[in-house]
Amino acid sequence: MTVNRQATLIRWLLFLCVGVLMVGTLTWHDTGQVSGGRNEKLYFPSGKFLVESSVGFRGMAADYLWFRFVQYYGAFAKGHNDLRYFDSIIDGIVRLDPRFVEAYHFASLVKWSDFGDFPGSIDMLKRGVLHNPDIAKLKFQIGFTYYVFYRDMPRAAFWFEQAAACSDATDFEQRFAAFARYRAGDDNVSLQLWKKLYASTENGQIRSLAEKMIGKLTRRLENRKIYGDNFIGPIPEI
Amino acid sequence: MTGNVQALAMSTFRESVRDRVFYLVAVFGLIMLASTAVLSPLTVGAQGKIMSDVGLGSMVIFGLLVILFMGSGMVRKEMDKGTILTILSKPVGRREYLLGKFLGLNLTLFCMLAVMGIVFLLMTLMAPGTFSLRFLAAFFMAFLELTVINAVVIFFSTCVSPMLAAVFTLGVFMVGHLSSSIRDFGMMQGTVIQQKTSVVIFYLIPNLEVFNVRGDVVHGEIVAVDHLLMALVYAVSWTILLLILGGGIFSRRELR
Repeated sequence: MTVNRQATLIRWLLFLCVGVLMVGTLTWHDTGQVSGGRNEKLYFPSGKFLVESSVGFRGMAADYLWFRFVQYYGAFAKGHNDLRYFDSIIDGIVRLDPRFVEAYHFASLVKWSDFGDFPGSIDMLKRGVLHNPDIAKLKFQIGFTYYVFYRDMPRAAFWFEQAAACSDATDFEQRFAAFARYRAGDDNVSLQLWKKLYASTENGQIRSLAEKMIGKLTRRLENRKIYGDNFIGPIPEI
Repeated sequence: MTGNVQALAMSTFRESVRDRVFYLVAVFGLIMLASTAVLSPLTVGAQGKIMSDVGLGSMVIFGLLVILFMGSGMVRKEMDKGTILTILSKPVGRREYLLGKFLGLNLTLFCMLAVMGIVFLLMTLMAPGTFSLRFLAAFFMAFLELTVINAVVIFFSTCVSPMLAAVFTLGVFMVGHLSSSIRDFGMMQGTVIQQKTSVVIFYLIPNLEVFNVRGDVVHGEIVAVDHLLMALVYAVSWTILLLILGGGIFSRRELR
C-alpha cells in the first residue's frame, strides 16, 4: 500500500470515528443518560425583556416561543417535564404578540385540562379579550367554561352574547347565547335571541330549531301571563 | 448630473447581481416553504399568522444583511481597487458618486423585496384565509425602513472602515427599534440630565418602529394612508439628511 493510500485510509477512518462520536454523544444526550439529562433545561427570560430584546421582530419571536411551547407541551404529554415554565412561556408569547389568539386559547385549555385551574383559565381568556375585543373565539370559550364547569347560566349567557356580537361570530355563538338564556330562566331575552337567530340564519336545521324554541317560549310566556309564575304545566286528563 | 448618477446606480446594481445577492431570494423561498409545509404541524392553528410573521420579518432581515455586507464596504472597496480615482477623475462629483451608490443599492433592495413579495404572496395562497393585498403596505414600509438603513450605511462608509460601518449600522438598526423605550426609561429616571439625554437620543436616531406595521398587517389590520404618508416623509427626510452629511464628509476626505 502506497503512502498516499495509507493517508487517505487514515483520513476516512478519522472521518468515520468523528461521525460515530457525534451521533453517539447526541443519542446519549437524547436518551437522558447524561447526569441531569432529564432535568428541564429550558430557561425563559421575562416577557418584558423579550419585548425589548426582539428589536422590531416581536411577531417572529412570539412564533419561535410558540414552537418551543408546543414542543414543551408535547414533552409534558410524554411525561418528560411538569410544565413548570408554562406560565412564563405563555406570558412571553402574549407579551410579544398580545393579539396571538391561539396562544390564549390553547393556554386556557391547558390550564383547566392539565392543572384543573378554571379561574386561571378564565383569567387567561379575559387577558386575551382585553387585547382582542372583537374575537368571538375567546369570549365563547369563557362562556363555555361558565356553562359547562360552573353551570353559571347568566354569566355563560352574557359571554355567549358578547361572542355573538363580534364581527367574526357565526350562528353557533348566537345559538349558545339563546340556550344559556333559556337555561338561566330569562325567557323574554331567550325568545328575542331565538327570533334574531331565526331571522339571520341561513342554515335550515338551525332555523327549524329556532322555530321550535320560539313556539315553546311563546307558549311558556303566555301561560305565565295567564297562570303566573307557579304554573307547572297542563293538568293531565284522568 | 442625472446621467452620471444613473450610470453609477446601474453599475452598483449590476455589481450586486454579480455578487449573487439574489441567491438570498432562493433562501427566502426555502424559509417560507419551511414555515408553511414543514412546520405546519407545530403551528397549532396559527399557520397563517406564523407564515406571515416569518415572511415579513425575513424580508427585513435579508434586506439588512444585503445592506450590511454590500453597503458597508462599497466605498472602501473602490478606494482599495483604485477605481474610485478613475471615476472621480471624470466630471463626476463626489456627492453624485455617493448618491449613485445609494440609489444602486436601493434599486437592488427594491428588486429583492419585489421578488420576495411575490414569493410571499404566492405562499400565502397555501395557508387558507391568509392571502391579502394589505401585505403591500408592509412591503412598502419594509422598503422605507431599508432605505433609511441604506442611507445610514452609506453615511458611515464615508468616514469609517467597512467593519465599523457594518457594526454602527447594526447598532442604529437596533437602537432605532428601541428609541421609544430608551426615551420612556430615561423619563423614569430621577435626574433632568438623564431625562434630556434620553430625549436627545430619541430624536437623534431614526425611529424605525415608525415603519414596523408587520404586527398590524399580520393580524388583519389595514394601515392608514396617513401613516404610510407620514412614514414616507420621515424616511425621505432622514435619507436626505444622511446623504447630505455623508456627502459633506466624503467631499472633504483625502483619497489616495
